[in-house]
Amino acid sequence: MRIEERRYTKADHFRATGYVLKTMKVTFKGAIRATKNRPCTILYPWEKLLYPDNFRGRPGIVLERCIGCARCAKECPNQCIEMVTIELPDKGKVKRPQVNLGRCMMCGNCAEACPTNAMIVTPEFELCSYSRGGLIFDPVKLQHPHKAGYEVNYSFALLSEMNAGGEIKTYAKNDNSVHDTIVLDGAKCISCSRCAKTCPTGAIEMVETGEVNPKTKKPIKQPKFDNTKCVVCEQCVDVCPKSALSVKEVL
Amino acid sequence: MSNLYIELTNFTEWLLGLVAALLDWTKLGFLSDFGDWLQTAPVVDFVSTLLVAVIFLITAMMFGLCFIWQERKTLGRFMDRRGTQVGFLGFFQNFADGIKVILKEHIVPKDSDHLLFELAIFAYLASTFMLFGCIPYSDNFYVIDVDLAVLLGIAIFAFGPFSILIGGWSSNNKFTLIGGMRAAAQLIALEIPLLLCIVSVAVLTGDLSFVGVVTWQEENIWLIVPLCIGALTFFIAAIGESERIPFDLPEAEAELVEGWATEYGDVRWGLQMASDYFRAYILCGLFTMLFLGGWAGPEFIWAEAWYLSKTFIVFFFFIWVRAATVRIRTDQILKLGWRRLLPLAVVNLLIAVALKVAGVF
Amino acid sequence: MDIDLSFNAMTMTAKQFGEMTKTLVRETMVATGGKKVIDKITAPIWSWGQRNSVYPLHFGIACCALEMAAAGGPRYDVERLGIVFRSSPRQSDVLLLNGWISAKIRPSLKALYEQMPSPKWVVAMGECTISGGPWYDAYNVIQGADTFIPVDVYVPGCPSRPEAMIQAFNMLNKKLTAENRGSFLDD
Repeated sequence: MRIEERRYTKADHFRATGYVLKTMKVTFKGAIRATKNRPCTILYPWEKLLYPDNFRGRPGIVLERCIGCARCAKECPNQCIEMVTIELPDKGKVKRPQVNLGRCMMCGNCAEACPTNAMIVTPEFELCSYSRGGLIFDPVKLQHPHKAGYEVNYSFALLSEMNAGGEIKTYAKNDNSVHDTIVLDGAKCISCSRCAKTCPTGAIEMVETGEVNPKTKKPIKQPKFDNTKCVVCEQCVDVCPKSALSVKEVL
Repeated sequence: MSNLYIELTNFTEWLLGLVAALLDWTKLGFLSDFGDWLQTAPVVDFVSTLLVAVIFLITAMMFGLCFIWQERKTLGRFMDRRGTQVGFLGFFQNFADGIKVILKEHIVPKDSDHLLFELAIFAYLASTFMLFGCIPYSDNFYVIDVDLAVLLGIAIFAFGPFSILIGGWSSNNKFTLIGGMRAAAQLIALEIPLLLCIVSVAVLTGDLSFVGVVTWQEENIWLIVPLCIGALTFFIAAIGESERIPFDLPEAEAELVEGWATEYGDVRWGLQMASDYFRAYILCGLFTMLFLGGWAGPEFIWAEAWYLSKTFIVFFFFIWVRAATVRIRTDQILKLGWRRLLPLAVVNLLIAVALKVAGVF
Repeated sequence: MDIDLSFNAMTMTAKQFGEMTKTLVRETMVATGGKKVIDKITAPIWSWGQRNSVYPLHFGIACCALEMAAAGGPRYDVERLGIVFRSSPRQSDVLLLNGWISAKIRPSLKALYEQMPSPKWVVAMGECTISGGPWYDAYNVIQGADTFIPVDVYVPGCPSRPEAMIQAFNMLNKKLTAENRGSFLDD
């Protein structure tokens, strides 16, 4: 009904009074409740809420588990993770992730992508700083004590198995048997072994193919991939000079 | 003469006597003559009046600041949260605000009318502080007992829209101009029912001074009983006159960015916010005096305490209405003022006249 | 003392006389050590007043504005700390930036910052104001508020939690307490 067609009767003119009185009654009840019990205010910073373990504050790292695969850096939607070289006592100079918290969206994608659950989500969010530089957390500062609830795990099912019908199997995140595989285009490979040197898990081994290089009379070696160790970090694909490697998705 | 004045006159005489004695002790001729002049009646009168005014102003402002505290805490409880917690129970919040506001830089808009810009806010503040002098706290604690105190109070109060209009125009800001015009229209519209309710009170009590009105109520009956419609009209008009929610469209945030006082930034703005609350306090005080018996009450606490308690309770109702209702449009406010409150006030006046003619009071 | 005492009273304007008096008073206070004493007494009072009554500008740009509004709500009441949101820049102390700053709104924000009377501070809330956040490769988003106004406290978070915002105001209080030492007569 349009506004112009409605006729205002006497009752309508008094309706406003009823509205006002009703809101006053409701408000008064709220005030009595807030005075008898305490109000629902949390007196931060003297009182703090308890957060669940999987609350997504800043990302953290468990340095002992990190293998430097840089999957977190690839997955980050804001490109805030950079792999920097640090010196570890037992492993020497390695690349570990550095997070720029001034750009981090705290989405947890890095923790989700991490194959060893080294990247974790921590419930720490009180991170204010006087400078932008203070918000760049290098790998040592990024460490955080680890609890089981801080890891981000997921399980997945394969599309091909779902389409095939029957019972659907779900796989855990780090299931070694079900992940994308690296495929070699043998014609392009020049046996430079860069892929084997870059692989952080040691899943690539240069094996002899049986052919012999006519010039140097040495056997030609090509990479062989151990799928149980591969974490699909794609560093070998990035580093291959001839683009001989590609990723074959498992569907 | 109030007790306050008498006590302070004694104090002043003693003080000036002390000063004169000190000046005598120096044994210099002209200083002794000066000390003698200090003790003459005009000087004593002047100094004691000054002291009365200063003490009363400070007391009234302290209680006015208590109103701001009451609003913030009570509004907090209505909204299920705590109010201010600065200092003991939140009392020091006003002092922190005051100190901060003093330290701010003074900015005048570039193309504004500089003289009027300063004068408008000064007139607004001056009219509010003048009103403190009109309203007594009890028989013994007042600055001056004017015969027409109620009329004087409303007259000074009515100077507000004038300064709001000038302030809004002189800021060189079209939104403050609109805010000022809306505020002036609203305040003028809501003053008429206010005045008519006061007229009805004067008809019954025959006296326009506060002491007379309260004495009449002590002898007969609190005027809220026969003039209940008038009390309700005065209450609604008072909420509108102090520009509180639901009548605060002139200073609505999304509409007008704080209304007529947008361009005032430092002490001027701090005192303007405080004087908005002081004006609400004065209207609550008027309501208490006219309808709730002023300082009348049993003797176990001071009369001033009765007056203040009643005013705080009336202000609680102001805050309750603020917490409960929504803001209404300017044309709805004006319609309320002219078409609903004015007839109610006239009806109230007729009731008062009928009661007086019938000889009930 | 650094005063030019060779003035000619007849050719000074009122403004010059005011300037000369101010300089004279300031230099005298510094030389006699009076300024130090007054600083020691007044700095705590000024700081107490300023930190218990911080008025942010109620200017919400994007999602972090909802967290700013939540901080003003009953659960994380900021009014108990003296924080009252004001709509006019003339009446606020802190420019609370929340939300991505597009190139379209940048001149308005600069104008708002300049309209605020000093002393004033800026709190950059949320990743977008610190560094552009998720829009790190957008053509229209300014990569951080400190490219055009000086920022005092950065609050990470996407969006920053209301408690993080309250922590930012605590850090701002520490900063302004430190800034106030030695500020008497500095206008």
